[in-house]
Amino acid sequence: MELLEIQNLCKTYGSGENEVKALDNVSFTVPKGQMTAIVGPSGSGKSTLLHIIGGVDKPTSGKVFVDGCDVFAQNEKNLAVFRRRQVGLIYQFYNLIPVLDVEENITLPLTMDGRKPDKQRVTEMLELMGLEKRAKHLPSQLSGGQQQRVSIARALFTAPAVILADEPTGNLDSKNSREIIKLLKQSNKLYEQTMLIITHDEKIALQCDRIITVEDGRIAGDEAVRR
Amino acid sequence: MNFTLSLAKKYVKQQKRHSALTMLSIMAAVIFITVIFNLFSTYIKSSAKLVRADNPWHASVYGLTQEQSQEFEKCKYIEKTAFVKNGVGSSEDGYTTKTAILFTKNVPDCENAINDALIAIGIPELETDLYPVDLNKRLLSMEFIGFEGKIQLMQLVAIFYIFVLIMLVCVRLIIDTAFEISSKEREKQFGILQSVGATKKQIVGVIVKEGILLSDVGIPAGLVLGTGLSYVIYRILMKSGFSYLMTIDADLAEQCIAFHVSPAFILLTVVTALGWVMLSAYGVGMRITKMTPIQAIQGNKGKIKKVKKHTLFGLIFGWTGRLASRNIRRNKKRYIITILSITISMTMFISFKFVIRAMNVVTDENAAQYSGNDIDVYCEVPDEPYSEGDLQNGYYDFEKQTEILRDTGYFKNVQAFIYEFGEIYDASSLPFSEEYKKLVENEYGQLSDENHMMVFFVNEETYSNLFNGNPEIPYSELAENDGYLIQNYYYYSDEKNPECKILNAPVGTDFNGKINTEEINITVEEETGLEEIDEIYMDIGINIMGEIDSPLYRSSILTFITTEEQYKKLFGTNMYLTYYLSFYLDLAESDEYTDEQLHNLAIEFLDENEYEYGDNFGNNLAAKRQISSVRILGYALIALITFIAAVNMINIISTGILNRRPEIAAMKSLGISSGQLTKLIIIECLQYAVVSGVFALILSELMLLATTSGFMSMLYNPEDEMFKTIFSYTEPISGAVISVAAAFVIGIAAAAIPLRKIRKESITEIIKDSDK
Repeated sequence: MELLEIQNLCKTYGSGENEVKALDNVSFTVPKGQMTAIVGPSGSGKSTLLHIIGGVDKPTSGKVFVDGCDVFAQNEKNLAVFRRRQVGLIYQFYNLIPVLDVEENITLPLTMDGRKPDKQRVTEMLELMGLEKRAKHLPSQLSGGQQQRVSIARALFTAPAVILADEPTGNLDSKNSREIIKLLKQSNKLYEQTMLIITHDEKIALQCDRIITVEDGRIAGDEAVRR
Repeated sequence: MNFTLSLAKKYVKQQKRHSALTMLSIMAAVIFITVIFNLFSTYIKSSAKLVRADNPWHASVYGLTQEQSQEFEKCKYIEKTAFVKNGVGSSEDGYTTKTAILFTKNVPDCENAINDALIAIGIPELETDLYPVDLNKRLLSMEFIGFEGKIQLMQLVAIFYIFVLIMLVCVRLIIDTAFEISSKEREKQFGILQSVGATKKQIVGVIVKEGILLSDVGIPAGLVLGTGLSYVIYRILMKSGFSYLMTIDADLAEQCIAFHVSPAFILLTVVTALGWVMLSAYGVGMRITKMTPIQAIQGNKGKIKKVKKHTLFGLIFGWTGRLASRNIRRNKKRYIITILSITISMTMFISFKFVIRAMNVVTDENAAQYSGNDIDVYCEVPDEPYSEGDLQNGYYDFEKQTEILRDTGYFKNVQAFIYEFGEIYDASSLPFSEEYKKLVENEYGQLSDENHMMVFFVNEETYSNLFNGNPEIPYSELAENDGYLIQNYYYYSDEKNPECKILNAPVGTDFNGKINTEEINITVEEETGLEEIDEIYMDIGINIMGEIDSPLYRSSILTFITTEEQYKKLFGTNMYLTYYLSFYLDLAESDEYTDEQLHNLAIEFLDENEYEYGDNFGNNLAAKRQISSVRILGYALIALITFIAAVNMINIISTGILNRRPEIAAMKSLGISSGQLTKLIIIECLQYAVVSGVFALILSELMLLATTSGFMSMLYNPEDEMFKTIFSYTEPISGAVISVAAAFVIGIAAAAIPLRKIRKESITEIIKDSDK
């Protein structure tokens, strides 16, 4: 079953002679549990595609279906809930809340839902990420790799249906990068989460099940990874 | 704990700079409102006390008996009565009893209430007019009772709310700006919150709760500081004599004028401030959540704008000017809010400065008009008639008098003045001969009985002056005949042969005069003394040649004019002459005595020597104090506005600099020097100041135009010199220049501290921070 379905997605910035087409009629599907790498040159529209799928940006036209639900047919509140429960976004530059400690950042989506996080689950996640000793630290007190782990933990905590990672290792050294990808793969296997990962790293792309190439806002390539 | 409250608390606690600046803005706004409200409340309460001290009753009804008065108290809308009898409180119509009344607060109309009460106690409706009523309108207005009180209340509220509205717009902008800036820096974080699932309501909730948390400290602190500041201003005003504006009775002032803090106003301040904070926070939250999460994170609204290549500041200052122009305009909305905020502050400054200047002009004018010199000395009429040539004796000799007063050492610039036809001439400049310095009394204020006739003589120059240099009847004709009547606006008291008495005439026999157009026969009675000068009569025939109209001379008394020679012929040499020799004296400057001591010595001298004088010293002192207290109040308000504007500017400029840390670091990495960076920031401050100053000036001039062409021109004649002085279109220019200079200096000072911090930091550290 296709968990993710993109139909004729377009995103345009500006108008007239200043018009820039970030996405030009993009369509594809992703089955449940598939780990897909999205590659392409800088400015090709990869991040825009990911942001729209994650509901944090709006398309100019086209539709996005996640688990059968038309993402942009929802009202603002339902869209927020969708982001909270159905999607986990991981950014290149972590994007943590500086006033919340590690534990609070990780459990943030649940807190917004008005739910109390399970202490056991929190401990497991902290251990999985190797952050058990940093639970009460603020982001400013962490290294880049640690901050990215917090970001990943936050995305994984509610076990959403889709994980979207925008160059999750772009700001990390090779050791940390390997560890992050390892974590993502673990989660993918463990929770059968569908993952889309934007990466410039060929090695990371080859670890995925599928590679979609985006160029000039269009799908230029879409192939399974042969192992 | 609720997520939004918990996050709001964390933001307040951890983002110290934002919290401090926002709290300071809230405090500044509350201080401003509190000072205005407290001073207003003090004025209202004190005025009410003063009015009650003068007369504590709402109304008086004359002519009721004691029993009727007691019955009156039982009537509708009458809260209390007091019966006063026998000469105390007698009305002009001869009533010797009055019933003082206090109305209930809900009386719809006071006169009707009294009328109804009179009928209720048994007085027939047609006879109610026989019981005169005095309403204490001042007290009724002050207590907002009855119809007039309600009108007064509405007027007061309208004036007050117009003022408060202007004030709140300014305050709103300060609070709005503070929230805008604070939230702008965290736009990215709010975008992240949205991207992990925060709803719009939750984001707005965080910002609003932050506002409330900051208000929990900012509002009480503002109230306390505002109350303290308003008390200080009150003390300064009282010390500088502001109470004279309310009453000249110092004892009454001490009893009734007191600093007052109204609980209702405190509540209003809290509600207003909290309301504005929540409104601002809500507005900012709604604005932020309008963007998509990714727009908030990336700080990109998805709009592509054309870059303006050439700017005025670029032309003047080169590449730094161009860059500065683009920097401040990069976020159009923020640029508009900043300019608007500074413009409003500047306009308020210019307006207040203008109002203070206008008040100074009016107060100075009033002080000059009504207080004049410290002491006016009048040398009165002689005790007995004197002969021709006797002017050198006694104290009618103005030269001698001048010398006497000068020799006391109490006065400066001692100079004699003589009244003539209501105009004052320096005695030494009068064109009379040395031997006969004959002066004519100005009868204004001297005589009130229209049956008197005034006879006086003039020399040719004085005669010409009476007719503005163009007399209808030449002086030579006057010299050949007995004389003419000068036209009076109250010509005859009785058109049929009024009785006439001649003044300044020698003693004679009984008077039974009558007047016709050709001859007056007058009889003079025996002299009865100076104080009854109007009882002196003369038996003489005067040929009245007719009437002549003097543009300068108007009197309610019949007046006959002739030449000096004719006067002597008609009345002989045994003449009464009444005139006033006056000295308008200012106290000398003394190292030995204070002004008050010198004043006391001068009064003692004048009393001992039985001079008649008018003591203006107290009024002058009061006038000077009024001027200084009005100025103090004005400058206090200007200082308050400047403080608020400064807080605003500091917030805007310093936050703007800190937001640009990464790009400043990037420019440093490219080789910008410290001096070039400073120049860039200075030009940005200059742009904000100049652009806002231009708008503020235009706004001020438009307001002035609206004022002068609107209701002010109904109150004043636009040709009036004082009006022209006050409402000058060049006046706002100086205010604009001062406010531009002040804004520029404050901007530079606000930029200096964060710039210094950034200069000290490592370039790579800043860039690394920005990548997070």
